[in-house]
Amino acid sequence: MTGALWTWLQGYLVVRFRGPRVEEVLNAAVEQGISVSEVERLTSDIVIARLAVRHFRRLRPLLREYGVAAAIFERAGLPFVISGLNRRLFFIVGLLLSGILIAYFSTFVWFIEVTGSSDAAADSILRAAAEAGLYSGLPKQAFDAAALEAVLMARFPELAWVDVRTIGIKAVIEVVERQPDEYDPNLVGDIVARFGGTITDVFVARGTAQVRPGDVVQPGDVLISGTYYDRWGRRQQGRAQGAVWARVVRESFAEAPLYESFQIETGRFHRQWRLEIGSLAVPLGRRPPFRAYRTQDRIWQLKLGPISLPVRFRLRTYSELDYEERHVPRQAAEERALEEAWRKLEMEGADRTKAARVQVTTLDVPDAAAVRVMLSVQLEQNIGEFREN
Amino acid sequence: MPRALQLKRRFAQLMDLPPEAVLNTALIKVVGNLELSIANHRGLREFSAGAICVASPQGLIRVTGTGLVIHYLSPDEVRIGGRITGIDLE
Repeated sequence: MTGALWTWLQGYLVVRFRGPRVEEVLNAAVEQGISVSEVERLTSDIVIARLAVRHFRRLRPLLREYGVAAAIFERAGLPFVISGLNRRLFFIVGLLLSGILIAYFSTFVWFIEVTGSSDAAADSILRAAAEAGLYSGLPKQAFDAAALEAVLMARFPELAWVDVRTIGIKAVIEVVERQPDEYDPNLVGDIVARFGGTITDVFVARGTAQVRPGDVVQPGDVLISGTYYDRWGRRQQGRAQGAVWARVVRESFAEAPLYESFQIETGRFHRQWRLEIGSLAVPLGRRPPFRAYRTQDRIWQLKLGPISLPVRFRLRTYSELDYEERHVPRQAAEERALEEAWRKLEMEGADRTKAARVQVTTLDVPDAAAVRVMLSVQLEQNIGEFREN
Repeated sequence: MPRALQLKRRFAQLMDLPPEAVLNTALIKVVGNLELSIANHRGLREFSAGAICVASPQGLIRVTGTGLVIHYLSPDEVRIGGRITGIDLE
């Protein structure tokens, strides 16, 4: 291995010998201290062998003496690599310069990404991060992740957790938003009635019950107070915990249309070419003669090898659309409206299976060509909700 | 065996010297059937992909096989690679 490396460092030639007395040439060369390696016979009169560059000249008298022709088949090794690089000086300089520039620019943060939050919150977080000093083009050395995490946690109380880190040239702000019903034992408050009704059962885990079964409560009444007395008789303020069930009458309504509009394609279409240079788009043809249409694009991106040029052609196909109104059977519309009314109640904690009495009233909405369903339900449900003091 | 050679051999044994150095003979090392090296050779006599014949002080050493290649050839050593199937001392 070392020998092979030394040979490569010195540079070697792969020489093709042609003639009947190649063995004698090789023997004579060896006697003169010329070492050869990787000797291989290709045909009955052709042999290839490797030898050091400095020995090739010494071989000439021997070749003449034995009538053997020799030709350099390949040049290899470090001296030839360096010589090749010299011929491509600008390429090498460009390569090195590109490497240095890439290395230099990779020490900056170029992209900032927020994960784990809604789009609106992400925008606010990005703005707050920019105000705190995280912007595109910031040197990574000046980037203090811990400080930014502290700023974001202080600025957004709705965040439960923030992690800021860099991945290459990208800064990732990963957040976990606090759930609305997330239990926070540090809060102080009562459990109050969400809806009015007649109390049927009270369970207190912490705090003091303010109502008993049979009491009639209105929305907002305190059901379980966060004030309680500990075992030493001291008055404490804390977070009330528990559940209060009541028989309530809940009402909801929803509407469903008696006609529905469907989008249909007429079969007519129009094609338009567009030339796009960067953000500039030049239409090459007239606009579609349709009032409503659907578009479909095919794009031809111009490329120079692996590089995408900022020029592309776009073939846009406009398909004409028309709208058709279809009648919805009254029963189907009523069922749809009733289901929507139930869905609204369920979103507020009502359990459909526990409904004791259900009253459904259907009305016509003439102007809107729709039906309205009024739903009135008597049921038992937990009406307590926490309210911070 | 000539008397002088016998004496040299005994001397090498007595002094624990490498016999190939004292007796001026070829030293052949074989690594499986993949590589063979001959020290103290006297040059190539024949060379093809199927057979390589190397001269030694004691006569010809014929190595047969397939895909034979001379990995290294110097005044002291010849190293042969390929799939070696036979070695004949002539």
